[in-house]
Amino acid sequence: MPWYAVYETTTGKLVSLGTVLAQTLPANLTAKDLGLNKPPDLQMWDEATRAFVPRPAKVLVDRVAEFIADPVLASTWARLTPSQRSILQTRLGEVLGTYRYRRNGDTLIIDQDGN
Amino acid sequence: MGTKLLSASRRFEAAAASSGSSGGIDVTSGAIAHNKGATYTTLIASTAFDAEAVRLVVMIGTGTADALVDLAVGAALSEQIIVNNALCSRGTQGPVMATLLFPVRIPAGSRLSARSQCTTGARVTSIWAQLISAGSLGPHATERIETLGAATADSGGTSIDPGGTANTKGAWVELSASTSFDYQGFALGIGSQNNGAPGTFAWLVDVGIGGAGSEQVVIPNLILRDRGGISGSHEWFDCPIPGGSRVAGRAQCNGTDATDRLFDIALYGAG
Repeated sequence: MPWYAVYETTTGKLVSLGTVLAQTLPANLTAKDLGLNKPPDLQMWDEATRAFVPRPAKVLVDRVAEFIADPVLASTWARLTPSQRSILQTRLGEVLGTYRYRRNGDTLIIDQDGN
Repeated sequence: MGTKLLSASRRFEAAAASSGSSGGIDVTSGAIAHNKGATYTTLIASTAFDAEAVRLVVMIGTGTADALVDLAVGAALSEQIIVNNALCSRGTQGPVMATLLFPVRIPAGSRLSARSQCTTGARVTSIWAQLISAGSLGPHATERIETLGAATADSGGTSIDPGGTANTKGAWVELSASTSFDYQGFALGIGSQNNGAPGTFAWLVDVGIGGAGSEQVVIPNLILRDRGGISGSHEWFDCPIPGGSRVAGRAQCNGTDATDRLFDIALYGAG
């Protein structure tokens, strides 16, 4: 069975995605045949082109890298040997664990919600 | 005034509780990601009474992950699955207890067991199961549970995209083109799509039936909340769905990030 994207004809807003259409499609909607395969999660609907397009990749920021580049620590960091820097960098990543990477827009400091 | 006497209309048995850990029974997922373990782990060797429902609580061990759990009855090597692919997730904030209620008959003396698959291999899933006898309240026992929307390829469910406009319902996404039988009601499992750095978002979720473009909402505005792992599996809805129905879900979100606004759902129809 083919998959269909049902969208508002005038705006392109996606209304429904599936293999079974309404018996009588409302007059303001258009059904687009997408073929046999459901669009993957790596794609998302674009209202302007009335098509599925690549979903923008999520940007993650490394808190370890940010910590190292923190201007407050610059002079201290400069006094460390390469070996000491490597040990500290590795251990910091281990301690941060699942909080090592943050979303672009979240703060360096881990907030009370764990972001 | 006298005290109202409450009659005990139901019996309850914790079919999977570990007094040694004050938790559930540990079930290790298959060694390879997205593959069920070869053997079932016994939750209880012999149930104490005829049960008409089982409440399942699933928690994943350390680290971000999604998991699917099968619940089965029967002797070792002869297990019959009664619940297929119960969905649960864990995020950065710690385990999220996915709680699902299945009104399915389990005779006294049954062996109850479970197996799982996870987004990484050999992950420990803690399972707590509670058997419930017949009583005057709650769903009536059914003969079978049908799973809609589970995705074994990524140990998740069907992805719901609320769309790029905050606080506005996105598109319906089909969970099933046609239910196999009449449902007395259903439970909903929620997944985080193995998102290791999610936003702190909130969602309102609709469940609907009907063809694409003419869906009718049967359950409106279920609340979900993300604190490092989406919480909000919904235990049971006494909401009949006719056999042959197309079932779909949609949502709105207070955030618009193209990845973090997404979540998975799976629906478990009982009839």
